[in-house]
Amino acid sequence: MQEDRELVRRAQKEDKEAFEELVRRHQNRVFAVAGGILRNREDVEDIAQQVFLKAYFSIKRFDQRAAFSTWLYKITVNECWDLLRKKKVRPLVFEAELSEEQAQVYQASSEQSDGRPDAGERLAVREQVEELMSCLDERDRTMLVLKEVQGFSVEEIAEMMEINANTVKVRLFRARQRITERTRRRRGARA
Amino acid sequence: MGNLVNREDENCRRFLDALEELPASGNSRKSAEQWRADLPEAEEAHAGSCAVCRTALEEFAETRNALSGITVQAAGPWFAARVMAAIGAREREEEARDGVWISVRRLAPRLVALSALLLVLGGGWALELRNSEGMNAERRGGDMVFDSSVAPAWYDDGLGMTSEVRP
Repeated sequence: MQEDRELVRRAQKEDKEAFEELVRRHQNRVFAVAGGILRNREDVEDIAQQVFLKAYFSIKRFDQRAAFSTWLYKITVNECWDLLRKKKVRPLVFEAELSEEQAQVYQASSEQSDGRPDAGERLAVREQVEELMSCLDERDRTMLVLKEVQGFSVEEIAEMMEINANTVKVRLFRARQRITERTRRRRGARA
Repeated sequence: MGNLVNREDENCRRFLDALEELPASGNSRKSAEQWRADLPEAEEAHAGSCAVCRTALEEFAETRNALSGITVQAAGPWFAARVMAAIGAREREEEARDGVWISVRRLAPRLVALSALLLVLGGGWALELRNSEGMNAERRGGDMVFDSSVAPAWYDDGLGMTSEVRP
């Protein structure tokens, strides 16, 4: 299997097959990054496509000093923030906010026979999570989701967000404290 | 609630690093004790003796459990093909918009080479022409030692004219 570096070199010479291979390799991670920030399935898919388009048209300027994946994730983060700025909405727009028709389509397209909870249950869980995370600012929320849900490392998050790895650790630590505090308070209120 | 990130203790710092290294659990929920068992031996032992780190471990487990309901969205099977189609469409669009300039841009290196060649050939020809003219002049100059050209009749007319104008 060819390395990313070689594929990038070929893509820089307008080899479309090489670029398509790069898309296949990185598409799920790009979805994960965008999903960590946006969460609305359609937005995530649109942004992912936009990210690869942007990468294709600017790949000649990419000097390979950083890894291709890091460069791609940075583009993803920036595109997501741009979209949020344009929309001026909360970053988490869950499927609960879809119209009934859209929700049905979503439900039909989602995995139904994998033994996991159905779309309705998932929506309820997600709403709860959203409510729980509303105590965090956007950057902390993004870091937490990228780390705990999408499985990115502290170093990857630091590179994506262009901050120090120690700062990521500290912010994750504090975000967890706040989430725990809120969960316990909620539990206490129910009891 | 203690503040682990401000602690000087090297063991606590290593514990915090080890906690960050633990892989995501996906949709499954785990207790703090289960997470503790996944830590390297030294850090696991440290959690037994340090209350602040134990608290951090509980917060870690609590947060992961709270977020375990979120499903990870993956790209569909046709995503790459869709991206490539979009790239093709964008290229065609740009080509149509730029029209002539696209071909100029494509031919630019050849145009530069052609211009350079013309410049060299033209320069060479001009030099050649100058040299041959110089040689001709030398040949003509060799025939005549003195300048035999006669000043035209109107040569001093200018002075005459100015004196005539004077009142």
